[in-house]
Amino acid sequence: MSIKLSKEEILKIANLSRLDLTDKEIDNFRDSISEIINYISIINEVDIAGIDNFFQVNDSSNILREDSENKATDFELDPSNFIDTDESYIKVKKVL
Amino acid sequence: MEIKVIIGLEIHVQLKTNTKMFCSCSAKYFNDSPNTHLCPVCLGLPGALPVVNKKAVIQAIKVGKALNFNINSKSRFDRKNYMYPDLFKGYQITQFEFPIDTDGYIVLKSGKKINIYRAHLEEDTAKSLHHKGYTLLDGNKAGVPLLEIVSSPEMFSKEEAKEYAKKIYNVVRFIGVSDCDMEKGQMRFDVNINLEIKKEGKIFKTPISEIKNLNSFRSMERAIDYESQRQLEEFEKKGIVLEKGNKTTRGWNDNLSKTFFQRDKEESDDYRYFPEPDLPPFILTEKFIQDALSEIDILQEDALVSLIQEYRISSDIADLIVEERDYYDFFIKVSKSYKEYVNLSNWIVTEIIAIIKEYSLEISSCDIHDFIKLLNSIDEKKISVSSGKEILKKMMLEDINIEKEIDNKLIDTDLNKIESIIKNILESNKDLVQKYLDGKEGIMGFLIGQVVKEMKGRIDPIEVKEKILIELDKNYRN
Amino acid sequence: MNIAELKKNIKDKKISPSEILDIYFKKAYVVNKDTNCFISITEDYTRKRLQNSKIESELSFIPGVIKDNINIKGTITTAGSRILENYKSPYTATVVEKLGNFSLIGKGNLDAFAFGSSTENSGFGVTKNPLDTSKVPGGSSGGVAAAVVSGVSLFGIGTDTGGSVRQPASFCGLVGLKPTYGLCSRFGLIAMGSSFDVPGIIATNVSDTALVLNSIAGFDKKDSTSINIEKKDYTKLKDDSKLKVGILKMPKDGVSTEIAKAFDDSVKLFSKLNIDLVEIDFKYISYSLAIYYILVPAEISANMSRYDGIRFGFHPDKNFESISDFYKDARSKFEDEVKRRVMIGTYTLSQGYYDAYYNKATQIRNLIKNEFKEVFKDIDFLISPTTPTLPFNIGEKTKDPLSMYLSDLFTVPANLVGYPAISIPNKKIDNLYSGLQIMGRPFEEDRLLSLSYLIENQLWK
Repeated sequence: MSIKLSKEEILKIANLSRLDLTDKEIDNFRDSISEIINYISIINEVDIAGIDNFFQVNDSSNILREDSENKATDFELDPSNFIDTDESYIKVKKVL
Repeated sequence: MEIKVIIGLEIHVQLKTNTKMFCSCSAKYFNDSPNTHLCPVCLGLPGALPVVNKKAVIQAIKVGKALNFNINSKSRFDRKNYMYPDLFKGYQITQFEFPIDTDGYIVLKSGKKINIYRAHLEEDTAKSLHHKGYTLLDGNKAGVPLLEIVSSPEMFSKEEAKEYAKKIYNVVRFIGVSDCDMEKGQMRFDVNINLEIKKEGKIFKTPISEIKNLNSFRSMERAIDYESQRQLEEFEKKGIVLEKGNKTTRGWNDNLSKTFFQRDKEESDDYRYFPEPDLPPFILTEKFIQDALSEIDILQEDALVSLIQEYRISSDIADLIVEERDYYDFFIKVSKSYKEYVNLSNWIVTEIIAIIKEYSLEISSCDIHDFIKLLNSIDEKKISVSSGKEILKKMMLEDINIEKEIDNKLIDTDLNKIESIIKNILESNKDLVQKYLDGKEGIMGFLIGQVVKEMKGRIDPIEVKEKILIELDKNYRN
Repeated sequence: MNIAELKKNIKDKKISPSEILDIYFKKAYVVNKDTNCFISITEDYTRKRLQNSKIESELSFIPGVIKDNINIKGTITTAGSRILENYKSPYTATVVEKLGNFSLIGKGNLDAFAFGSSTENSGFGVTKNPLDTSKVPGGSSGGVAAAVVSGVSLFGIGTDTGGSVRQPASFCGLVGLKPTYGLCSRFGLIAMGSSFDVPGIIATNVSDTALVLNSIAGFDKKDSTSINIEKKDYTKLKDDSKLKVGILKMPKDGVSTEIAKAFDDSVKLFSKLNIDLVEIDFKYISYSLAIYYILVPAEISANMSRYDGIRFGFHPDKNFESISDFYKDARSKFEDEVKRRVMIGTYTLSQGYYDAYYNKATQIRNLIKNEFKEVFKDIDFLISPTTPTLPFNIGEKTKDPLSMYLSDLFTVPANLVGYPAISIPNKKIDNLYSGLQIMGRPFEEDRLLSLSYLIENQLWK
């Protein structure tokens, strides 16, 4: 059975993704995303009873860092990358 | 109509670590200039990757023990997705499905058990300062380790909620995982609250409000009061009851003493959690857990029991001593060489803590060796109790030589001198003496004071009183 | 010219570092005009950086190209997206640090954020395949492959999430190596699918690939998924006897006849070498692409959330009603494919769908991983074509994203399970290149490269 996402569904996903779509984009994404959702839905046929959902590429664990300050990285803060600054704060217009 | 308030608490505790949760930037940011503790990781720059702070994991394990949690050997981090300017990556690294601690509890004084669902590690957000028309962001706090402790909604009054919160505060501080300094935001409360209303034989539940970010016990209590009343009024006016999806998030305005609507939970609550792919899970070995637990020498409740049972200290006094880990440690250190435990505990609670509070000191300003010398001198009656108190205060506020101070206050044993001073004082205060003899007992204190003053404090007031009484009997009473 | 030859010439003072820069930068501008392989040509940066530099590392002064989703402090790092158009990176990726004082010629073009298989999704224009400019160079590391095959660089570092190094290498007749997940640090690679991404190498031959791997491999404490294993010398050939190689059973459809034929030819070469061959039919591998296109967009949807217009990149400069509108304006700079994948990921992770998609896909990923473990107990390597088709025309698949996704058919499984895989060029067909993919066991890049060397040098020519 093939799924076709409604315009409302696309808008809901877009809003949750913080994306603003034009009407043309809505149509375009409705088609392509529906097609892809239908394609990936073939996994429905796989029986996964009893299979672990804890996945790791490599079986490593407990990768922990000692709690000591380390400024070894060559990073330098570049406030010119910020949208705006006020003293050394990052300044954003109207958040609330 | 019967009304029951139902309260659940989410408590955020900033863990005491040198560095942030997922990077090596300093986590000690208080009063530092904005945006000075930042690196690609906590600034959320493209390509940066988190690495877990071992100390924070150890702290979480310790809290696990102190709050009777199951400490899970298998645990992992997840991403909680929501975009907000104070959340630089647009997701918070937290623990959703497999938190480190689950199913804990504490017991209130009444004996009521409050279950605690979970405690999980996560990262703090940046600080936002909202101004008219714009917001300022400081990333120093972004990425500081947090432990979120989530209770079951089992508290049915603000008193229970406060006792629960206080208990968490004490327990967590006692094992040293956080200072919980609320003025610095090191401990914050989110209150989930609604009412159960019995009316005409039916039970109604009001919609749950989550009041975010309360930063003192007092504001928590006031918010509970306000919100219970508000929900009741709303119920009476509109009759809306709890349904799936009608939970709201509210804020607290301390100046107005009001909660205010922030948002409906429904739409924004889709956090799309999934396992953090940048961090392998924890498979904590028994050894790792034991090593972490070995950092706890004693839990607060065990300390309390030992003060009462081993040191025979009254529970009221013992309660006050275990309120601060430092007080307890001080008690234990002094008790190694000073065995009058009850006397010691009284000195700590009535004198030392009072001085600490009055002058905002730490107990470390009371030198242990000097303090023991002082107590011994008093017990051996070399100096008076009141001199001892004076010296203690001086000792905590200034740099002094204890021997010299004690020598200066040694009790004067020259009987003739004492008697003649008493005589003189009584002579020159004849009127008062008469008043005393007529029944104004308060005068005695004054007379003693005069003598002690004349003796430069080098006498025990109790002894003075005895001698005055003798003198009165001898020469003033008929 | 290969790396070893140029190294010798530098050492023998037949060519000076500044002459290298003169030659390669001059060429870079010309090639870039024809192919658009670079987002930036970093002449000023590199000349300044290499001033007074000495031979101090394996790749000193060797010209290289770095995909533009890899951070290099002081360069503009765009990830191929307009949202980072002027983003000056303030730090350097570990793999680039490890390369030492090589000659950075430029930052390679790519599909925005590496989402694509043709370099057509770049915010900075399409890269053309230098071997036939009507064709795509592959992607997403298309710019790197185009630069290397044009001789503007002797090696390139790309990223490979589902084939993004191997596929463009195969389309450009180059060697492309995707190392084991965890062998090379991801720190500083702009994340796409974090549990799939690895830095990879594109070079003209296997020996050069091994030399570059020697430089970039190794544990990095800044990447929690990197693995601390003993350092190996990948340039040392391993003499493997008694190899057993699995041949991936070809799917019923989706593979072009040219590719099927080329693959048959390569299988014959293995037989000639007296290598034991066995056909392998996986039970779950046919779900690879489906779970890849569930899990990767899910990870993408979160990884893209930091592009919020506040701390870096494009900044909206209007006033908005709400922060949500501010975000939407900032993120309007995302290219279409970025928007599409973010939305797919948001959809599959959202309430009510998580179990059916993300969770189930994770379980199937475990099934596939277990299956690979079992299969690789019996075989040393697994071979397949790198791509199901020859290089396609520019514009051919842009209208049909799913058909573009399907071109990752053979490359995706290695990323699902984290295994190393290499693409080495087949003989040309109709003047176009395709590749043979060899997959090895985790962390056995030494053996993988040795076998590749054998195939490349003993038999291919």
